[in-house]
Amino acid sequence: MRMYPYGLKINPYPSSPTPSFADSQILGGKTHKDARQAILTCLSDLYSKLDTARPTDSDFRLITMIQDVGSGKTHLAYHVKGLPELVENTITSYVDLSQVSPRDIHNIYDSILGGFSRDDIESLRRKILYFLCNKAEDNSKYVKKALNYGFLDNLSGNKNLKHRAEEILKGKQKLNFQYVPEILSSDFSEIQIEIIRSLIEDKLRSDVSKIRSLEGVINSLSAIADMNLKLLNKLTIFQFDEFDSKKESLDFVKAIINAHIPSSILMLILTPSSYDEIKKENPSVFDRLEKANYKIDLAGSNTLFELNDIILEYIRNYDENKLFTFTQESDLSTKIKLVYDGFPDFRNVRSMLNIFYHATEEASKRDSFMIDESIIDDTIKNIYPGSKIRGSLMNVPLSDFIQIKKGVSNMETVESDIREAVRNLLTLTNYEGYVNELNFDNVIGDGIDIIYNDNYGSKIAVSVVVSDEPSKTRAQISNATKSLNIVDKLVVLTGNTNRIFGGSTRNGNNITTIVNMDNAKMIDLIYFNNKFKKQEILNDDLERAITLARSIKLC
Amino acid sequence: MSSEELVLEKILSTGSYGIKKSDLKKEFISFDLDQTLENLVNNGKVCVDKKGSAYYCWTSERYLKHLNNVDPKFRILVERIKLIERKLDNHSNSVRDAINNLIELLKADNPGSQNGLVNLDNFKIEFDTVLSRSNTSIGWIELGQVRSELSEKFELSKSDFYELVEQLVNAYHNEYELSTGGNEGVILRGLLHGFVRGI
Repeated sequence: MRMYPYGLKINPYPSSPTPSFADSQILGGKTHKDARQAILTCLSDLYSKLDTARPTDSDFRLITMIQDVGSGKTHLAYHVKGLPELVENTITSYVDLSQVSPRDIHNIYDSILGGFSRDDIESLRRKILYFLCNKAEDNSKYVKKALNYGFLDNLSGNKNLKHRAEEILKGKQKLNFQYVPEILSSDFSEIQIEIIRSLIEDKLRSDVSKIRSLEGVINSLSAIADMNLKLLNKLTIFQFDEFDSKKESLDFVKAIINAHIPSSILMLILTPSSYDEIKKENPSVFDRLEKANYKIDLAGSNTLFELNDIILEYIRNYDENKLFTFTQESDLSTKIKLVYDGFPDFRNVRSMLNIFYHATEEASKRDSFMIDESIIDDTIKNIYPGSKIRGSLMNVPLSDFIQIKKGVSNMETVESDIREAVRNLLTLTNYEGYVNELNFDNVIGDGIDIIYNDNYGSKIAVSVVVSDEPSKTRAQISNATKSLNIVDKLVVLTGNTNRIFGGSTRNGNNITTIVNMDNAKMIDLIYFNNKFKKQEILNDDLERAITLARSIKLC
Repeated sequence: MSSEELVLEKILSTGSYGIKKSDLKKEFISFDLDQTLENLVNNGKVCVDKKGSAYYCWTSERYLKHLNNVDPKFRILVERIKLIERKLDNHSNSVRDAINNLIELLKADNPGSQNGLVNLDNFKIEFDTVLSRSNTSIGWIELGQVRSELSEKFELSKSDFYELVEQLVNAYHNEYELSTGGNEGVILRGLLHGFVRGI
């Protein structure tokens, strides 16, 4: 049997680029959990104030969920739809508006009906038929006729009307609908009786074309919400995902909001960009959205803390044998942080889950108990072949990146490592003819590490100043500048501590150039140096090394 | 004319040869010559020195000329000092030229602006200020709008602005989030991210 890392029996991560209903039952991350709680609070609030016998238009709530693509909005919507505590008191229709085309009222209404789960539709049908059966106490003759329950049924031992109802539900018998309006007219409106007919005859969606206007659609939705409450004692949630500024969508949503469909919640899921477009396109709808009862805020849904918890939550959920220990969580969190820091492009839920899905598969293939750096490195290379660590010119593999990064954080040794790397980089550029007359030994002035001539014959002095103390850095730079009367140009290579933008640093000048090297540059230099010392600089590396030298203004 | 002016005029008229103090005493008998000379010496206007067996008086400049003529050591020292002076002049010219070049460079890169003074820290302060002024209920604001507002503070080019935004968001990734869309912004995952908000 194939095993997955951490003793898992399956790969816990979703394999599809968009969430599936099954995957969405796992919800990680504080922001997402807080958002879920906000939705539950809204539902609870509405439910507590609801008069189930006579809901009014004040029993309507509007929720907006606005966040960027790939941040878990759809996942949260699915998750809410499937929450066990909500299954008891809500019926949810989820509509992905991007799949509704052309976006006319019939298609949108059809999608709403299709958005209800099969189980919800079945339970409503059953409730209606049982309701009919119960009406036999007052109207036995019509009920029996409607259920096609005759003399022979009684003789054959089928004494239970509910048994007949079950047969109708299974399609073994048919309902004689001509008697139904008479039975239900005191409890349901005309529209509701029409919907009941469509439901029982299993033609709910095919009857959509019978509705001719937006008003008709709204009335039907109101009727459905009312039946859900009356028969099932459930609130109705209409979820519209990928809500955008298309006119048809805006008109439809505006009508629903204006109708205040009793005992219902309208949840609109959209991106900040769509929200902004709606503002420009239709101020009237925008104003309504601004007044939403709840604005679900997923702020920080793509932060490291959030993504880390989401990734771990999937493993925790499937860790039946409790093999995913605290130590392994910490270790995996370190890897997640490295991916997050090294690859800004992956800083969202969707990308991270995709990487960890593939990394888990790779770990399984290698029979590895854990996901290590080389697995993540190979995964990224395979699924995102164009990706490289942020700012890296030397294409440093993630595993080397991790190793070197630990050393770079040690300020005591990093300066001498960088100095050696710069010397070797200049040695290489000297071989290649980009600089000449290298001098490492008889350098002039304090703080000068290397002197050489560039291709134009200018004498260049290089000073490496990598310190975490700004005052020390400034003093070293000040010392180095004393050599300016002897050389034509001074290049100061410094760390990230004293970032300076603009002026001489940014645009350079012909006297002193201060190059602020970020971690990626320093890691590049040390990676280059390691390869150089092992004589492993090959053709591609050579070009990259020259680019690296240029990037830090050495040639 | 005061006594000091009378004496100074007399000494000046004798050029680099100077005038004997005894001759001055003979000429100016109506006031205390010793006191007047002492005042002029203290003010640095007159020098008194021995030449031969007699005391002579010169103005300061004439005295230096006299020394230059009669004292070879002094002459050499003067030459050396002049050399140092010339070197200092050259260096001060170089420094002045370098500063002027630097100013020109900064001007050329960022005409009439404070761009040379933009760093991530002061950019962050102004960026945060614009975000905090955002009046949208959901907190998201178009980066183009932020750029427009910040252009009053820093005359950054569009690419410089977005380079700084990218660095800011990378350096403080727990403080900001970007969202896709908009007309201008930062490219991530091949998508234009034109909206920002503080977390």
